[in-house]
Amino acid sequence: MDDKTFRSEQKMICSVCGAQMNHHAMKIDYSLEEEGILEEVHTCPRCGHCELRQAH
Amino acid sequence: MNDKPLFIPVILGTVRQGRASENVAKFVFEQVKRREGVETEFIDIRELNFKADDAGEQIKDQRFSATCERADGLVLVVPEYNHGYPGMLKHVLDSNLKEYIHKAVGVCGVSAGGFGGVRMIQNLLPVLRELGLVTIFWDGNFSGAQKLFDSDGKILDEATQASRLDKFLGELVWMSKVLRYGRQNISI
Repeated sequence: MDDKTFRSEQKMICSVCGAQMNHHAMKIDYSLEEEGILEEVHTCPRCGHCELRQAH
Repeated sequence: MNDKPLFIPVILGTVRQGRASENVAKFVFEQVKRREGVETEFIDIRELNFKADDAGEQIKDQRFSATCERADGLVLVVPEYNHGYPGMLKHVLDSNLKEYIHKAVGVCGVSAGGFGGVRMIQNLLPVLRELGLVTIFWDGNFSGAQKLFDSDGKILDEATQASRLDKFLGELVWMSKVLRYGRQNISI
């Protein structure tokens, strides 16, 4: 299955400064469930803040 | 292109008493400070006082995590203990994840013997990769660390060591700039 299947199309908004964030990585987090949870990594181009959200 | 200064902290990766890596880390820190367009901070993992009855993101230190989030790159100054890296460094690094992803990291190995921590570096690389950090391919190598400094911690042959470190820092700065641009502007 292609990674794009899991990727959310909705842009993430920076919780610090309100700018539209850039999605630049996917990461499996094994700390939450045994099989792992796929998460998206987003970085804000304005303030550099980084956030994760669960991929759909 | 973002022209804000890069932020590249230097992390001293051992808590051991009498550590020779402290002099090396302070020397590396001074070299990073001299770089134009780079801000830095000295982080001694001994000062972080991480609790030892849990691990991972459950033991986050807010200040350390904020520093890593602000960072564009990291310099790790790490001694080689029994061919490996100090367990306390792993304990500290494991407390973050998203703060590291697609950021540059360079490793300075420190050893009492003649190999400058190369075996430790080889063991540390897969850990850094799994944390989402991007390793450069220059390393800093400080062999015979006890003999590189006088009793006041002053480096004996600054010109030679600074020249060797210059290539390492040059690549680290380049990688930090490239990755910052990528994180902020290029989507997967």
